[in-house]
Amino acid sequence: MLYLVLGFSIVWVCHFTYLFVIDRQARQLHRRLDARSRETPSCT
Amino acid sequence: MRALWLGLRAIIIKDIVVELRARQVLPTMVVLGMLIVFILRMASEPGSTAAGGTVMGVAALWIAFLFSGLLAQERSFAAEQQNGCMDGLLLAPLDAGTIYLAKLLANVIMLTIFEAIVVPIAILSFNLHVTGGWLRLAAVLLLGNLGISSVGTLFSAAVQLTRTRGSLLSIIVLVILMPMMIPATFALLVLFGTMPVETESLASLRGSGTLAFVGSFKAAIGYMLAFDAIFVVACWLLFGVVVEE
Amino acid sequence: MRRLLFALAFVLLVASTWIGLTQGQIVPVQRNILYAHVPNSVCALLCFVVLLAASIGYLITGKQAWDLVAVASAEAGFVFATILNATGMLFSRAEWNVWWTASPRLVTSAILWFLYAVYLILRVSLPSSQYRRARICAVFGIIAFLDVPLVFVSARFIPDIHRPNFSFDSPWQMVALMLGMAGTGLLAAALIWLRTSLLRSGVELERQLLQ
Repeated sequence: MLYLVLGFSIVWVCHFTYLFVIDRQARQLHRRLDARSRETPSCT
Repeated sequence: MRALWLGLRAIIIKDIVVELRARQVLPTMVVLGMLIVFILRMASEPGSTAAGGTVMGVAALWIAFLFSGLLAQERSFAAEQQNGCMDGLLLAPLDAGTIYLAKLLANVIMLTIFEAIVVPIAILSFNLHVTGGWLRLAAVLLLGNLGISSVGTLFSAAVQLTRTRGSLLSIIVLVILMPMMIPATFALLVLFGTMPVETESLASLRGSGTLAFVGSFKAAIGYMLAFDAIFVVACWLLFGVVVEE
Repeated sequence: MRRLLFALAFVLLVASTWIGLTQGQIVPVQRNILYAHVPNSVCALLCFVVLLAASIGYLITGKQAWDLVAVASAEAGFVFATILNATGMLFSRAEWNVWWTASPRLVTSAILWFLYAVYLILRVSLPSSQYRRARICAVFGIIAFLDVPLVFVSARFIPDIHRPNFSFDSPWQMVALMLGMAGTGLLAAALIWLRTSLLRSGVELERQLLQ
């Protein structure tokens, strides 16, 4: 019984960990894009 | 055709001559192999029964093969990279596939010399009895040799520019060769007498249908042959991709 | 659109688990891990096929988009392979009381996991000189895929074979399993899509910064 619960929780934990990693990367990208858009008006 | 043969011979002879003069890699390989055999012999001493000893002996043999083989393959392109010979090789009027075949054969030769020295040592130290016949033993070792060299030569060229060259090559080759190790171990276990070639108990474990050959020595050799054929051809075809700039 | 896919996948997975555990429960209760195990195993293999296709696509066309799809599917496949191994080990512990044994399925899943792991390490370690990294990873992708059927066959050589036979007791079980597979498949597609577009934005950003 315990194994069943453990099994299903591993599935969800792994999926959400991966989604979390992707999400963090997305935020980083957004931050860099914002920083870039803020500084470009002076260049062009 | 003649150009192919000339090119092949030139590169193989070059590699062998370089090795004979430098005398670096082959002694290292042999000593590494002997050390691995020795360590595993010591590690298996406490629980040593006849059958257990044979299993450890087979394991020691293949591990020594794999790791010394990796050493050999690393050498095959490391020197080229360091001395800028890679460009020279690529500029020569040779097909990339020919370069691959030449390097492959050079590696196979090196590993064969290694095996001629280390396998008797392993047999002696683990007290193995070659009940299956020396010819079959040589065949199994040759097939294993070819498998290790085929994948290793391709990826050795690929990982030359990285920092963690040797370890990267190790993980690549080990992971690709994992499936071959199972029948290879099985074949050696049969040859050294631990596993019967064909028995009732094995027959009962067989599945039905296409994979009903499971458990026979012939099947193991057949598998290794197929493995080698597939990978030599695939690596030969893909070598050009790996070395182009 | 992507969010819709994710939501749909989530719903399907929950539905599959619910139906599996209530209507179609398999008798020794631990065996229900299969509802999580089987779809993930199918998806891990599916991601490998995508990896192969992307690698071949990259080598033929040379467009970077294929390379990014390959990386994304390798990462997704790695997640699925991890789940596959974990649930497989739990199942083997629940069923035969050993965490791991040299059984064909367990060996196959382990090697699949290793193949993905080495692909990802290769990706990280190679110097990203324009096309070299992508090319070498593509070559590894193809060679690794050649390995997979060989793994299936070679695993049959292992003498000690547990070969569980599965048959469906009731149609509800099949429904739950199919729902699980559909859900996991959608999840895989959504993950690869998401990751690829992220990678593409990252690459685009780098290119703009360099100009």
